Amino acid sequence: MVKLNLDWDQVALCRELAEAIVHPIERYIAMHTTVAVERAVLRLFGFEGDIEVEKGHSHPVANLIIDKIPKESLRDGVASVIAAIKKNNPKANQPKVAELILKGEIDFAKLEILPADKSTAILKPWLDSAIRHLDRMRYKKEEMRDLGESPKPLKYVMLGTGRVQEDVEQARVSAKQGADVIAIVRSTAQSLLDYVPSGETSEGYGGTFATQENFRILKEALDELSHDEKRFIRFAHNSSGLCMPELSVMAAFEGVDYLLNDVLYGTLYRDINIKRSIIDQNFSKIITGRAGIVIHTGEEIPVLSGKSQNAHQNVLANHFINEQFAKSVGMRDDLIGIGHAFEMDPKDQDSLLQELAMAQLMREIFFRSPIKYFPSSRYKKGDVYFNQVIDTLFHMVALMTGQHIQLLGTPAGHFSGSQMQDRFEALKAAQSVFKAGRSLYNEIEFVTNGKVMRHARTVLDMTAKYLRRIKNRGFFEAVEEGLFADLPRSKDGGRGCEGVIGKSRRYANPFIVTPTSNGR
Amino acid sequence: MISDGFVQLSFTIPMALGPKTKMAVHCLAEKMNLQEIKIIHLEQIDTEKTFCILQGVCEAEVDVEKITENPEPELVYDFQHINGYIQEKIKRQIVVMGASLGRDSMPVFLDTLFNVSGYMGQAGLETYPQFKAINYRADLDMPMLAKKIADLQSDAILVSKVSTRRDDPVIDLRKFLRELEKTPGVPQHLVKICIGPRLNEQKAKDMGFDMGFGPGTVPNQVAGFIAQEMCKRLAL
Repeated sequence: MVKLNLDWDQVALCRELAEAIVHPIERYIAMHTTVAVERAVLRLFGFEGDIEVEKGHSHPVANLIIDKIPKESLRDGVASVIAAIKKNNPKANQPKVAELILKGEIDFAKLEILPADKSTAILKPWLDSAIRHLDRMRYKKEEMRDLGESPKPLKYVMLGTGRVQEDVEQARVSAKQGADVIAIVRSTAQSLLDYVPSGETSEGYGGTFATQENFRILKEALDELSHDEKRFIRFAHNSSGLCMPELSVMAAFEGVDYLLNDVLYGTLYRDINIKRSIIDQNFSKIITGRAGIVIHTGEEIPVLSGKSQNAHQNVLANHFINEQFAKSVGMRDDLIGIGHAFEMDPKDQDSLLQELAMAQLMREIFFRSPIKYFPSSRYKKGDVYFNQVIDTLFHMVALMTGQHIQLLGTPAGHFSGSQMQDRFEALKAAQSVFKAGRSLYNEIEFVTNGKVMRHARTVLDMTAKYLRRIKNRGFFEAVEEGLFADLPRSKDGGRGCEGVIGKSRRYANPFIVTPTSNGR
Repeated sequence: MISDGFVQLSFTIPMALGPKTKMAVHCLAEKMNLQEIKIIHLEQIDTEKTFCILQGVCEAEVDVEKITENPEPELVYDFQHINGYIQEKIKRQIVVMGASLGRDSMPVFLDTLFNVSGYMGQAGLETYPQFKAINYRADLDMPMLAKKIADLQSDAILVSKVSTRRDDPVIDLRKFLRELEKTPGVPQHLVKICIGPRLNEQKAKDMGFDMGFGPGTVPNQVAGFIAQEMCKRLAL
């Protein structure tokens, strides 16, 4: 519903500017790969599991293989290397191929790399099996939707105890109390690990490790709960960090519904090299798009960074840029779930009105996106009673602006992590507020040229200016100068930079040529 | 009345809401030595879980006169408080550096203190407007790091060394202090902090550091400590 009387030419201009920012980067991406992308390709081809390298220490097969292949050969893509090995050993299955590589029986210098189409032909059975798996997960999500859904906003809760079985138990409790989305918080700083741990985990730090087995356990439990509760209870996880492509593959294979996948998150939050991040997110989106996963971006960055005085245009600009990155791999609009967060200092006069303006602005501009509305915890303190007031204000804004998903803040969640009673309080409050104000969205209009409309228009105008500045500087340069969230990040610095590889002319990655729009 | 001992508690007990629940909560509160117990809310939140809120009177008393000093440094200020404090007292940005020593070091702990993402919901030092936070991670060797400290006139340094060998960190950390002494131009007031999984205040002070932070340290603690130390050193 259109309520802000926006200048739609200005919106179109913002989109054009974002496209102009992203376009040169697309070319850069097309010419490069990363160790994480190649490991993800291996995982897609079924190279799973760990190998014990010394007593008590296991490494993922995918990491071991990529580490073993000389960088010069990696430039051709791991798919080309595997295809060349398969050509000489037609009967070799994945463990056999892994063994040949890891035992040093392959002379990479002498390996005959085939043209991309020949490589793809050799790998066809493995490729087809991966694509079939991804497609199956997409169909399954569509089936699950037939179970029914709660009225919007969907109630999104976060938990992560470190022990996956405990998470299952807490997820069950929250689902029974009305949660529609269960998001698992990852162990602190997992995004900095350059490998994905494996197996069921029973300890974590401030969260639960993302592993394929943990994904499987939680998804199985949530599917069962969905059938019990007769509504689709979705599973959300996070793929940001040095292993974004691999985590996306695992999430896709195990049927994760929502995945955090932001272009800038790793770079700004964790100082991950921007080039690495940009290439990784691109391949991730190809996979998640195919598997029908909704991605959410992490727009709380400029809000939380603490230095931005005028974070509103930064946030909106980030949305436009993230949208273009997603579109550049052909993602459907309904899978581009923007994550939207603002700070609302309840002490400021009319802060609620500004928040209303921003929330409505997002809703109108990205009207097809399943926006995740994120109440900021920045102004929450130890006063758990007052925190309920802040959350309720955000609930009201979500209702008044017709949001799709409401991430539920909890009275003490930012202090003591995930306490069951805390989530219970949050769900109880959200249930009542949402019910009490169910039709508010359809009943509300804003005063023409009032404070809400004026704020929305100002932010939109400033966003266009800000995007133009980024476009004129160039994306990488803008990152270097700290135009995003006032956090300058060198384009050749940060973590994971050494994992960026220039592609050779013979480079093959059969998953990239497979159009994601195929199954529409 | 100020000293009425009134308390209000909320918690979840592992039992369904039934005839015995109220009594069970009452007994529990009695065991906490509460008087005049009033159970104001009981609600079953799952098959075997009940959420309770109760009020009561706690008759325990504390003699404030007898409290001398807190054995653990309590420096948990909040973000705004720390920034305001620095702005008011020091009137300039504090330069703080972070670095991991040694080749097999793991800068992850350091990252959680510096990065925006931070730890336990608290944003890292680089988000503080009143800090100029530079995290070198494992990029510099010791002489280079000491030189950087001198060149950029750093106010505080956080070093970490996580090693697989037990005594290794201590040795390296001492070496770093000697390196600092050798390097000309290192600010006199430099606040030296070491962080690591087996470190605490005592161990750090024994080695010659000003402070040591162990596991579970949140960015605010570090920021608060640096701000306070700076004030002491600059005699403000």
